[in-house]
Order: sequence, then C-alpha cells, then structure tokens
Amino acid sequence: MPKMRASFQGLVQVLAKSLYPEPDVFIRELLQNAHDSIQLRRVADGDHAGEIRIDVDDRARTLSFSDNGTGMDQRDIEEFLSVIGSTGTGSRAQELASRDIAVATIGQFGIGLLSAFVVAERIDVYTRKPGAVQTWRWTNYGGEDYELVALSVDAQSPGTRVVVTLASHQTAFLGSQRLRQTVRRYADLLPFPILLNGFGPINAVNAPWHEPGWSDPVERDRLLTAFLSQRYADPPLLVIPLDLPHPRTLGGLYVAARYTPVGQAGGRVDLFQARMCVRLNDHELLPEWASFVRGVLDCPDLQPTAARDNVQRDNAYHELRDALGKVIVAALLNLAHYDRPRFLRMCDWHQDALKGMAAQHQEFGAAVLDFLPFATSQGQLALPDYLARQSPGANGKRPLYFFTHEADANQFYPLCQAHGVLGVNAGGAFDETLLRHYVNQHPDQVELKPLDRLNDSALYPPLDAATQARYAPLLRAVDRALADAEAPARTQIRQFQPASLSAVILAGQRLTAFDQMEQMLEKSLLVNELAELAGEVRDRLRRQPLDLLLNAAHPLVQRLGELPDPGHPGYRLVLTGLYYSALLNARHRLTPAAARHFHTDLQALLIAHLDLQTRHDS
Amino acid sequence: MTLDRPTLARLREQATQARKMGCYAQAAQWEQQAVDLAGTLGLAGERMRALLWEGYSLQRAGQDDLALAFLLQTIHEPTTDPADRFSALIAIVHISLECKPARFCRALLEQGRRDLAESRQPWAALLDFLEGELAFRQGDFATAWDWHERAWAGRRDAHPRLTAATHLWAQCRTAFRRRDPVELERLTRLLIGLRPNSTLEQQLVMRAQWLHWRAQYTTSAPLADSTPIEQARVFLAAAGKNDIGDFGARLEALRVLALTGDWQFIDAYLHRCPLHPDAFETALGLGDLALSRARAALGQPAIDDDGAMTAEVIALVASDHGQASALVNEAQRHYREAGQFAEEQDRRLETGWYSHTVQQRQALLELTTSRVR
Repeated sequence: MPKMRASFQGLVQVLAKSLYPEPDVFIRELLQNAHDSIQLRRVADGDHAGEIRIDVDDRARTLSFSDNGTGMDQRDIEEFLSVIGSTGTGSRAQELASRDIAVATIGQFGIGLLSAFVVAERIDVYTRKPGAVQTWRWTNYGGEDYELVALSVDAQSPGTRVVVTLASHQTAFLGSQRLRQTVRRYADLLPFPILLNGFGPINAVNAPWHEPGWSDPVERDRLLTAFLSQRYADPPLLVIPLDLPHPRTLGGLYVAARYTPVGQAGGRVDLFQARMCVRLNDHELLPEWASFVRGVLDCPDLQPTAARDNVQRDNAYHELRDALGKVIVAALLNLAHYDRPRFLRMCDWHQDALKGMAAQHQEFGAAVLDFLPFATSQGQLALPDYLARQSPGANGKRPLYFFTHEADANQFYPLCQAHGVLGVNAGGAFDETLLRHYVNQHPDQVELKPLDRLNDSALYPPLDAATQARYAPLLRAVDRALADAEAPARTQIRQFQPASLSAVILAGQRLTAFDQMEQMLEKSLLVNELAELAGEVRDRLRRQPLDLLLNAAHPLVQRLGELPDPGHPGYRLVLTGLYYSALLNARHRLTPAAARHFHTDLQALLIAHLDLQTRHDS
Repeated sequence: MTLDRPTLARLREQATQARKMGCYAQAAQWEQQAVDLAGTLGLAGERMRALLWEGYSLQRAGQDDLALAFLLQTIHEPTTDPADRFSALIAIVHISLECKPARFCRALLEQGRRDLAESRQPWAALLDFLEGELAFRQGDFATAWDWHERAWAGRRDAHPRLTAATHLWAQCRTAFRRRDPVELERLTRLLIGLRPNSTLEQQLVMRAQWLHWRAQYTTSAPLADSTPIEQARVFLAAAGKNDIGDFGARLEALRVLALTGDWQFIDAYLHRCPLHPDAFETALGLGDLALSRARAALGQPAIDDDGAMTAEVIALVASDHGQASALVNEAQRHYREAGQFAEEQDRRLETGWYSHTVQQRQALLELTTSRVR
C-alpha cells in the first residue's frame, strides 16, 4: 500500500503560520522541555536542585537553553528527538504513571523543538544522561536530515543544551529585555530558577500558592497582594485567593484600586497550566459581568490545545467559569458586609461596571443589589437603607422617589427635603434600571415615583380658584415675556415647599426622548434616512417647551402676583429671569439662543440694579 | 400598581380601549406605564411593543415628534420583535408622508422592501398601502388606485397589519378623486358592512358616506338620503366639545353642509371652532367655503368645487350683492394662502397637483368674480 509522505519544510511552515502564530513561542517550548527534563531526573533524585540557563551569543547569533535534567542517550534521540510527534517526556511520564509515580511534566505532543525552526536556521542539541560516558550532539539545519555525533564525556555536563542559531532576520530574540519579558510571560512560575547569561533568576519561581504560608489566610492575603501588585503594577483594592478543589485551581483574582474602563474585553486572567502560562489576558474564562476583575490562575485540570496558547472548552473549563463567578460574588458580598468603606470605594471606582453588570445579569444583580449605593438627597445610600427612612403610603408601600437627570438634583433635592422624603438621583448609568429591578424584587413593599414626570398635586399643590385667578395676569405676562425671548416654556402657578424655590422645571418625556435621540445618533446604527429623521426630531425636541411651575410660596412670585400690571415692559427681565434661574438651577442644557438671551437679559438686569444702587448711594 | 404580568396586560388593554374611544393622549399615558412596567419586569420584547403603541398613540394625539422619538427607538432596539420593528417603520413612513420629501419616503419604503426581502416576511401589503398613500398625495390617483387595490388584495389579518377599514377608506378616497362613483359606492358599502366599533374607524365610515353623497350630488336634483347631512351636523356639534382633532373629517363635514346651504350651522361651528389656514387643506377648504358662500349670495347654485363628479352647467344668475364681494375677497385670500402651501407641497412631493388645484379654484373664482363686478 502506498504511504503518505510529509515535507519537513512544509510542516514547519504550517507550524509557523497556524500552530505558533507568536514566533517567541519556541522559548516557551524549550523552557518547557528543560523543565520536564529536570522533573524526570528528580524522580530518581528527589533532592536534585534543578536549574535552567539561557545564554546569548550575539556574534554567533545563538541562544542556548541548558538544563541539568535527565538528558538523552542515543536511543532517546533516535526515538523521540528525531521523530516528529513523538514525545519522550510524555512516554516517560506515562510509564512512570503506570507505576504510580507522579511527575509534573508539561510536554505532551513532541513538537516543541520543531517550533524553534520558525526562527532558527540551525539547531544543535548537546545531551548526556547522568552517569553516561559520552555526550551526544544532534544537529539539524531545518530539513529531514540530521547529524548525530558522539562527543567526549566532558563536552556536556549531565543534562541538555539546545543551541538555536537564529536566522539572520530574527536577531531581535537576542535582546535580553525581550528574553526577560518572554520568560516572565510564559515561565514565571516554573519551579526552577532560570538564569540569563549567568544572572538571575529572572523568573518568580514560585507563586504565592506554592509558598508554605498559603494555608494561613492572613499570610495568603499578604503574599497574594504583593504578588499581584508586582505582576500588574496596580494596587489591588480587593484580592480574592483561589484554592478550588474541582477543577483544581490555585491562584488569585483582584479588583484594582483605579478606574477600569468597561471594554469589550471584560475581565481578564492569565491562565497557567502546570506552571506554564498557556494564555495571557484570557477574557472568556471569567463570567462576562466580571469586567472589573483581573487575576492569575493555575489550573492543572484544564487541557491545553496543541499550540499550548489556549485551553480546550471542556467540562472542566465551564465548571471553573461557574466556580469563579460564585467566588467573586461571595467576595463582594463579604466585603459589603464586613468592610463597607472599602466596598463603597470599589463602587466608586467601578460604579459603571458593577451597576452595569448588576443590571444585565439577573443572578449577579439579585446578589448585590441590596448593597449598591445610590446618590440620594441624604448622601450615598443602599436601597434598604433608603427605604428604611421612607414612611409607607396609604397602600402600605414605601415610595421610591427618583429622577433620571443628574442635573435635576438642585431642584428635586430641596423639594424632597421640604416634603420629608428622600430623592434618589438616578442619573448615573444603569441607576434607573436597577431601581426598577429592585421594585420588581419587592413589589408589595416599594413603589416608584419618578419626580421628573410627576406633576403631582401632593408635591405641587394647586391654588384655590380665587388665588389662581389673581395670578392669571402674571402667567400671561410670563408667557408673553418668554415668547418674546423665544424661550420655550408653558407656565403654571402652584404653591409648594420649599418656599426658597421660585420655580421648578419639569422636562418629562421630552427630555428622555431627546436623550434617546442623542444616544441613537451617537451609535449611528440607523439607516441614513432614519438617522436624518432622528437628528431632526432631536432638534425639534430641544426647542419644545418645558413646564415651568411658578411657586406662589416664594416672595418674588408673590410680589409679582400682586403687581397691577405684571406685563409692563419694565418687569420683562424679572419674568424671564424666573425662567432662566429655574433652568439654571435644574442645570438643563441651554441652547445657544437661550444662553444668548439669558446673557443679554442678565447684563440689562445688572445695569438696572447698579443704577438703583448708585441712586440709592447718592 | 401591582408589578406583574396581569397588570401589564391590563394596562395594554386599557390603552387599546382608550384608542378605540379615540382618547389617544390617554392611551399614550397607559402605554407609557406599560413601557415602565415591562422594563421593571425585564420583559424586553413587551417593553418595545408598548413603546411602539405609545408612539402610535402619540402620533394620533398629534405629538409627532415624541411619536417619532419612540418609534425610532423601537426600530433601534435589538430586543424589538421584527413585526413590531416593521410596524414602527410603517408608522414612521406615515408621519413622513405629511412632512418629508417624496424621495425620503421612497427611500424608507425601499428600506422596508429590503428588510422584507431579507426576512422573507409576508408583510408587503403595508408597503403597498403606503405607496398608494404617497401616490395619492402626489395627485397621481391612477397609481394610488393600483397600489391600494394591490394592498387590499394582499392584506393579512395578522400583526403587523392595517385595519380593513383603513384600506377601504383609502380606496374610497382614491375612487372619489378618480371620479369613479360606481367603485366609490361599492367600497362604501363594504366599509359600512364592517360595522367597526372604534371611534376612528366609525369616523372613516362616515367620511366615506359623505364622499359618496357628494359624488351623487347634482345641482339639478336634491338627494333623497339626508342621513349624511345629519351625520355631518352631529359630528361637527360634537367636534367642538371633544377634541377629535381630525381636520380632514371636519372639512369634509363642512363641505357637505355647504352644498346644502346650511350656512347658519357652518357659521356657528366656525365661530366656536375656527379653522386656521395653516396648511394646504385648510386654506383650500376655507377658500372653497368662501367661494360657495359668494355663489349663494349671488343666488347661484351650490357646486362641489373639490369633487364634482359630473360636468356642471353653471347657471349664473346676473345679480349683485354687497356681501358677495367681501366673500370673493376672502376666497381670494385663502386661495393665495393655499397657493403658497401648494408650492411647498409640490416641491416636497415632486408633483404639480397642488398648484394646479389652486389654479383651477382661482379660475372658478375668476368666473364668479366677473359676475360680482
């Protein structure tokens, strides 16, 4: 039967382009081989102190990777080193496992050395088993043919030295900075010191979970905080140690004490498998709501892919994902219960992320909603605390007063205070959604009261008919003055507390619809015609009148109401001033035209005031 | 308010009832509550459906900008049901027909066709209907007739849809403009046979009956059936008290009464609810009313300037009347106003029908004026 044939060069190309997209991966592979070799030697000699050395020879364009591990003999070289896909480490580990001897090796596929040909023009392997009487040198120039030469015993100490002669355009790998970074990236947690040109170690060797103090909770937190701070150069606000039995996982997560933008990447972890990093910045393993979390995980139960740059999405992976979600929620709740100031600080830094995730993910939301702080007229309060301060209404439910435009606080907070109720400033991202979720969780106890849509007679009591009639000339005068100033408003008279508010602006649905149009246009997902229409609607909504409620309890309004002719041109500036001051107090957007009119009116008013004052002084 | 699905269903039902009664502002308020509640319950699809109907209710209540804002949001949200998204697009085209250029409306219709082709949904009748409405507004009544026939034939009784009354009314109106009394009668009978129970659709039946009555009207023989005349009086009497807000229906009722010469009723109504010449239809209608009154003052027979089906022999009576001169001037003024709107409409809708219509009226006026002089 005819046999399939393989092209060595073709295979290398396939590896280069598909399996090993990162050219520096050969460093990882060679360090991994060195590690496995030492581990195998330690099976026979448990006290053997392993060491890996990397040496650079700029002139020769070579990188040497040396280990003091188990080395190879002629049979190993011919059966494993020279056969693609055949792994001595894997075979030896399996053979040891059959005798119930566990050995923590990494290599599985027998293709690691091949990866060096992605950047090398020649590879020499010098190797000697402990106790052997000769050294072997294996040389390959990137083809099917190789040379195997027996050398004297002193040509190599026990172990293996792989000398990679880089292609002339790949000399960037000779730089020590790059080598250090690559070692830290892939092999930081290898349990043997890695020396670079005789100095080092340049790897951390052990992670906190490999240290004896890991079993002590206090020491564990200290070790983890120090490790994560150093690794990410980022002070952690919260560290979450991980020691999961199934799938077996060690490591730590952290929430940074700084703002982390909620990007599409979400939360990220560096994923180690048997101490070798198989994936940096993995953004799929953490639950998608955990966008504010980072960390390092070492999970031997995960199965790496052949390229060893990712892990397989198997049951262990999904179980780990679920377990991580539970661990994070438990840590957050623990923080909220026992270290409230730190929890609030975290909410402060990561408000958008935390609230966004609580709004989007029901389970997470249900777990943390009771603890999330909201801005209220009495400072930051969690919703249970807010409701504890509200009296129930006639229907037995406690009202949850809120407004959705942050800027409205100026007018709604005093209004709430005057009525002995608390207002929630739900102008932050996701606030309104979370309030609705909360009411949904407690439908018999809470009811929502949207202040900015609530032309409520309880908040703004109407006047009796006679008083209303008395103010009719003032309302007409205000409407006329505002029409002259092209200020869009509809005026009503009420009498409400606090008396210090001369007028209140209610924007209601118009402002919400306006904001919707703005957001829609920002995202520009609409087809051209609809986007054009949205732009027009937005502009027209901007010009639509707001509801202006004058307060008959305010002395200025009272005096204006008593004027025999409030429409007299001499009062125009005062009347428009009422509108503009309410607009400014509510911090609503001033259109360019409104700002211009306001500026002009204010200048005139100031001059009039100055005239009066100078006349009075003289 | 209890926060559960039955409450949401009740709010939606209340809104539907309010729309049936013609209380669109109230309907919009119920729908707004339904939007909030569905959001609270985490029912994204239900929320967008309520938002769609809030938009529709606001449109009927005359708040086009808020309506457009909500309809655009309905289209924009990924959680919207495709049928609701398509309905929102249809409602947006409806609004656009009254204010946006023809090419804009056509682009939206093409977008709708593309969406349908992609989604393979059998909703083309709605687009056909809108094509008919666009052609109607362009004064191309033959094309409008074709599209409306096609839309009616393709109509399906499932969401998204337009009601049968809406389709039949559009065809009645087009038949009237095409001077086709036979089709108009057939369609009016069909429309009456629907016996709709919503205020809006009942109004459409009444309007079709008025058109049918006007189509049969001749100067020589008074019509035996006086029901439409009574309906017009009842409608206008109620219009002042309840804000029905449909000026098209009011003008049609006034045209019926003008043909019967009931100027006392018309005067009383216009005194109570003045019509403002702020659009082509109202300016033209006011001009027509003034012209009709001028004819009456001159002792001439009443003519339906807007839709005479038969060639009238205008038997002018040589007489003079002081009031006629003022009425002719009033008609002139309104036609000039209508002419200004007509230019704008012609430009927007890429047609000459509006200016041509005004020119015809001015010619009729000229004929009357020559007698007044």
